[in-house]
Amino acid sequence: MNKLVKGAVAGAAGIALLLGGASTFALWNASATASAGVVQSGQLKLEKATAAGTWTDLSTGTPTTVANIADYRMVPGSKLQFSQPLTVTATGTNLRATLAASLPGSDSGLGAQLTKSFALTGQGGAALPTGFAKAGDAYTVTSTGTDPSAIVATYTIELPASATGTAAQNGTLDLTKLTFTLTQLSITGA
Amino acid sequence: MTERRDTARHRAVPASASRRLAVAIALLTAAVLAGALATGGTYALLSSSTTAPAGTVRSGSAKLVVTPTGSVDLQGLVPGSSVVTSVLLRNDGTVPLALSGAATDLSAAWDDGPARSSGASLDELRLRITPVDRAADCRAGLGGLTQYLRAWATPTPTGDVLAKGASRPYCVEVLLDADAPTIVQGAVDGFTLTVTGTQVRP
Repeated sequence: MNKLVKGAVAGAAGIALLLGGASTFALWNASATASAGVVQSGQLKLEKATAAGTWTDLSTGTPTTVANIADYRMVPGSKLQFSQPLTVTATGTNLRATLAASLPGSDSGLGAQLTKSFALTGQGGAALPTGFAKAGDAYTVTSTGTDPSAIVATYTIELPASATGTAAQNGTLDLTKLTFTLTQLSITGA
Repeated sequence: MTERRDTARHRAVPASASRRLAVAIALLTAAVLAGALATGGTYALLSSSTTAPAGTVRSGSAKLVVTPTGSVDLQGLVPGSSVVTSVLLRNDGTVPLALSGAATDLSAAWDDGPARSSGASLDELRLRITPVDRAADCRAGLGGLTQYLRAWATPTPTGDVLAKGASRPYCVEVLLDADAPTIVQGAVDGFTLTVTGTQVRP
């Protein structure tokens, strides 16, 4: 190692020592901590309640529980309603969401002959909790601070009495993929 | 010669390194993108969903079977008499059916010469349809729904409902009016009897 290299190493070591001891700087400094609190994020959560969904026959005007939907055969004039208790958690400042139902493959076969509608009610047929409002075919949900909310989602299918001939006979509609989705809406409304 | 090989080797090393660097950057980018796509949580808006296994809904059917379905030859009518035959109706569908009957495709001819008065014989015929317990009970003079044959052109409800899976014999009686004119002698009349089952509203 020549002298030039040795000199450079020694200089670098000196600078490093100076940097390691901040107190050796000549300028004063001071700091303070502002207690800004803790920021928390909200939650959007949709769950099935413990109670299982049930089918009700509304065809005759007198609601009747359908014990086994597999044994039921729809005919023109039949009106069936599936009720699924749900629990909705929607917490967050300015949080708005939309709750909708979807059924893949429901626009073909027997499904194409049926009218379908989705609705929400409170438990036991009561009014919806605060924060739920119907908006077209879906519902808007806003944060109420009283989460979680217990509601009942109903999905109603009807084979119109006007159906004639052999249309829609011996058809099948798979409702095993009936899905309820809660999706946040943009805060800005965009 | 040796100097040219060394020079070539020195040029090859940086080229290989930059290729490896480019590949590494590409792989890293792809991994980051894949990770971003795989985690829905990286989207800006919150979302949650649940699926309710509501089962499968099936529709029923309406199916009415008539036996026999072929033509029946009813002969020997004279004024004031009638001829009978029985048919069996069976509901093979999943809904109760309200029955109605209609006589269509009316035709008239004479077996001993040209037509003398088109349709005159049809005006003298009446058709009666009566449900019976057994086919053997079918006879003339039962009290079922009776109309002139031409009136049956319009589908007419019989007032009977056939439950799903049930079957019932019906007696079909054709009567020739007692005051039928002589012009109807030797007439050969034909018609098609159509029985329709319509679902009873739930």
